[in-house]
Amino acid sequence: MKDLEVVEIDGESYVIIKEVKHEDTSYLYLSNINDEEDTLIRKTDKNDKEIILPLENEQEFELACNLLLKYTMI
Amino acid sequence: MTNYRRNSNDFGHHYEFEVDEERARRNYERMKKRSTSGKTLRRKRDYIRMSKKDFLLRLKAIAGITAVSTALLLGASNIAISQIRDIIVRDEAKLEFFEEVIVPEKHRTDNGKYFFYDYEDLAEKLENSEDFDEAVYLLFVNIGEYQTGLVLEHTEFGSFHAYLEKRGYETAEDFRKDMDQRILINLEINQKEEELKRMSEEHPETEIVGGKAL
Repeated sequence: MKDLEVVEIDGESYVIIKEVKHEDTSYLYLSNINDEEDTLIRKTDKNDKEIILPLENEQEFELACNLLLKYTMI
Repeated sequence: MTNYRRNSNDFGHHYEFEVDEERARRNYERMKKRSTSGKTLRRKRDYIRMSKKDFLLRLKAIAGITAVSTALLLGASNIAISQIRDIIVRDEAKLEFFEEVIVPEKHRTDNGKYFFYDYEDLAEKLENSEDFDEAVYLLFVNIGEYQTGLVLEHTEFGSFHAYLEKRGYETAEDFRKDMDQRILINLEINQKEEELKRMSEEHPETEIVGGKAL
């Protein structure tokens, strides 16, 4: 068993499946507790790691995708 | 999303993947939209317990979407997408080994800029594993030949080269190919066992004797 952190987004509970650090930011890869196909990415604020933000734009989403791809295909 | 079709004309365990591009693209768009919108929130540090199997399934799902998405983004052909998907799907064992064995032994340097592995601890884990050769392979595909060699320095083999020699492999690539087959065979055996278990649970009245249902 693994202890996983839960984040509530739009009334749905998501678990943080993976956290990948990149420079001053951590990217969080989340999976809906009730629907494993419902996945999304969030990031922590550079100045306050306790704050979770949506990604800025498509470019940052692509970056986050690449970071996870790199992580899983080491 | 992906259909798996075994090419069974030999024992080469070559898998072909048919990727539903339309669905992959839809998942990509949905994930992108959901990831780039929404409110700012504060972490509450609430936790739940999840089975390792469920965790790996979800990690695979996310990794699969990001891999396929990246391929789509690059305008890659269907073949390239399926190759990426292939790697992700095949590598359940690799991913599990990485999470369970390697990550706990991966530490940051004092300046926080780099990582290093605790080679002695990794060597001990290899020696205590149920299947030493499979563990060496999983280490090798995760952290590469050089680092694997540093781990094996703390075992009776002394080096990766000596290990390969004693096992009868000429090159690391030969070792990789051979073990890749072995992992796939093991995965297939496990899948068949699960399938049989499910069938016997669904139809407990049916007995299977000598390959024939009675």
